[in-house]
Amino acid sequence: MQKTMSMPNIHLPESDRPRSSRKPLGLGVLVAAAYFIGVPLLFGADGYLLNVFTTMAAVSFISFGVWLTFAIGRINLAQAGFALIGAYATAILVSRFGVSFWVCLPLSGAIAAILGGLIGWPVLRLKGVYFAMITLCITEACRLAALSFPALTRGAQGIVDLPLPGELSLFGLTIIPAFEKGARLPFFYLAGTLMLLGLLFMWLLDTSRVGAVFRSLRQNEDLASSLGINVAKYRVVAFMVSCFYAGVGGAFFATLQQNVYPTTFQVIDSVYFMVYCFVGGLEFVIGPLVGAAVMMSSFELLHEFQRFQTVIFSGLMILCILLMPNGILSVIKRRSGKSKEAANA
Amino acid sequence: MTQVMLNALVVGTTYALIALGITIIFSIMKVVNFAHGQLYMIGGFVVYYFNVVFGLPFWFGLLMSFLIVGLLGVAMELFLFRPVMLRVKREEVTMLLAMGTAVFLESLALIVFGEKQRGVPPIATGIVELFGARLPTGRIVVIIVAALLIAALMAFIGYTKTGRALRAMAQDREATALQGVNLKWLSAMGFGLGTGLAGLSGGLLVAIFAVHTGAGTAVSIKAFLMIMIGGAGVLSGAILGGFVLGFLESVGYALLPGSLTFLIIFLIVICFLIVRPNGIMGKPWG
Amino acid sequence: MLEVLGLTKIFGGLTAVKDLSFTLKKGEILSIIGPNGAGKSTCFKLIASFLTPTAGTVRFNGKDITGIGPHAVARHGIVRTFQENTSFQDMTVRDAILLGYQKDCKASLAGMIFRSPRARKDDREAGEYADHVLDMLGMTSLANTVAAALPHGMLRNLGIAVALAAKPQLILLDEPFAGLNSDETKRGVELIRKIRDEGVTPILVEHDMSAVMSVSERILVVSFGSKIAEGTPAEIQQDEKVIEAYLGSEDKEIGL
Repeated sequence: MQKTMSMPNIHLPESDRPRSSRKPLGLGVLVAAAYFIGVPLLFGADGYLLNVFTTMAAVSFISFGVWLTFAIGRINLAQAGFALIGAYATAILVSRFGVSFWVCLPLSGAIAAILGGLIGWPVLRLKGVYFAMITLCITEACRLAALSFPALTRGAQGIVDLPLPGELSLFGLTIIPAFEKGARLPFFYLAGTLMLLGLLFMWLLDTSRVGAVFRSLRQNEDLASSLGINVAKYRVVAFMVSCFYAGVGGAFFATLQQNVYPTTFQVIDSVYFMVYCFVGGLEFVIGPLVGAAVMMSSFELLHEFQRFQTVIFSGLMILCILLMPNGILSVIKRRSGKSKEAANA
Repeated sequence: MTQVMLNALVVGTTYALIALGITIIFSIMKVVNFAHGQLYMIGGFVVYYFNVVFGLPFWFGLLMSFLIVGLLGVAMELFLFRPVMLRVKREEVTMLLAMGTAVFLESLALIVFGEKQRGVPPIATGIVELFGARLPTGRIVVIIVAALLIAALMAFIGYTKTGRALRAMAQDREATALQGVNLKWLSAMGFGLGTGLAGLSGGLLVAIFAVHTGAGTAVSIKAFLMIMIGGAGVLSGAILGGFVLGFLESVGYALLPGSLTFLIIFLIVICFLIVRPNGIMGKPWG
Repeated sequence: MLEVLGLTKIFGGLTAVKDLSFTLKKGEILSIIGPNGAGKSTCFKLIASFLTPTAGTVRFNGKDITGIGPHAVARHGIVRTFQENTSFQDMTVRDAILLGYQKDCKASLAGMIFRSPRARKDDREAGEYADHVLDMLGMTSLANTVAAALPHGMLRNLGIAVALAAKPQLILLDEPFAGLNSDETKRGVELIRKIRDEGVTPILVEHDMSAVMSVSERILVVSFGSKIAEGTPAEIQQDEKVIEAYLGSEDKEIGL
């Protein structure tokens, strides 16, 4: 059998793997160590800073969901809306029905995921800006729904005085003790755990065959369906996972703040989740984490500028986009690629 | 009912102007201007400053709102959007840039203009009776002016050389460039025209409603609703979307409690888009 | 194997395909030819269910598959290639072929995510099959090249490779010879025969007459959406209606 193609001397470059699946465990352990050990050691005494890190972890968790919808080629501005749904679900279940927080946490995620599946099934047919705008409408609609049904949600007053998580025990053994009033560390550890578990699952997903299917959807939906891939089903699955992250994150914040209002999660928050994904770099699973860390630290560092904080922050963000349109990690990747070339030269 | 219809006309004509502005930008640059609402808001403040603070005539302020916000748009295109759009791998970053600009403009406006709501003195006195409903003269003036502006814009797009170039650019960039049209200048000008229209709408509506620095997001969302209903990238769709939204809003506010109105509007639009994803007159995008 | 009956597709005012009927036996290499705009690609899209016909049916191995949707059609065993946008831009050649195997993977969603034994077995089998396809197309050296870095001619091979990975019984090749020189065309003809010998029946839509004449066992000629002739290459070359449809094409062009 003769070769189908005799190649002239064109050197085709070996591809570097398009996603950073290299050294993932090492990176994960580093992040875990930094968070669970480093932060409490360095900042343990400062309640405010602990809170910042807690928020950072929880926000990255929610942003992973947005990252996933980017992976299937959609711009998802509904994450804040589903986070709000999760927050209200927990708030209502805890305050009205006395359900344990530990049950509400995954349950809120499930509720958000189911609603996401129902709404996603028709809506995911849309692409590009249309999808972005319609998801923006979803977020707004969630806020308005919270306002419009005070019998359930207490309207603009919100649901307040939510109790702190009680203890989690199985077969009489206390796994997690009840959260004490004013204690920041428990929430800190909870957020960190969520963040790491979320990262782990997202990484498992992305590096699995399912992740490859998602990538194919983003790159060429028609080709994927011609190969027998049920595009609609996979899109909805991705969206439901994304909404699950939102719901759980929302439940967390409702409990952290011990209240929820229609304004707890708004359109601007959806935008921020997106920003964290971009800043970190959309190719990388860990991107949202990096993005959230960078952006939120920057925001905090600007704290002294008080009323100028937002202007400077958004101005810096614009500058970042101008200078690094493809994200921080891609710049790092390029740099390390260049130094590798230099080393090999 | 006539009262509702008249109110709908007032809002609808101005909304149509807003929708036209965002549609022009979208059709030539394929970018949704998320900062459109903030530009509208700035237009309102421009009119306030010229009319109230500097004491100049309202119409002069209105002209300035168009020019100043239009120039701002040109600057945005030249220094922000153009360089970024040339270099990005993922087109969503451009959308992100627009969102960042929106936040920036709004927070800057808050510092410069302050928190207070601002309005201008009525541009016309008296009340007009029309078909059994009553409307302040000022609002009638707004309807007329807005309608005239829409007509002027459509004439510009339809009959002038620049207008035709913009239409060509929206249909086929490459072919237009091959015809010798300077795309760089045209892009900047088109963006400026779009943003100028936003500023103009803001300036016009400040004659009726007060403006405050936080007004931008709501207006942007309405602009999106309009182009989703009417069809993104199509001028006739923009006008249609503007009127449909104006109508839905007026009817809604007349019949339902406040927050429920837009909730229902959102649900209607979401269902509508599922059936007709390109809007009433739109072409497929994405 | 394949039965197309009265297939019609009307877009607004335009009738792209009109009452098209033909049958195909397993292992028979069929080509659909016709002047530009004759409706050949539309015909493919109808068979592969990327478009729903206005009228008519498509039956595959006795089952009615009309309009069931592209991924369902693939699961029945019909896979098509694309003229443009033929690949997954950011994936390597081998990854794309592994993806083509997707529908034959038996692991569940959770199984794939958590690497169940079934999922790992799927991956092994996919890998073996991918290597086989790479070898068949002579692309083994390109296995780790990202599609965006491939030269244009190779993209078509990639498209075929990925389609083959889905283990089709019937493969619809959309203009596989476009833009190839005569050497490449010869190798392409051999490749199509090889595909058929492996048990995959090919249908081609094509413009390149020399390729069509040398590879096809049967040819269908379509003009303005309707079938105007059907037969062996020799018969088609003589057919007056065909010569007329190509309006003034010289005999020798068709006969090359």
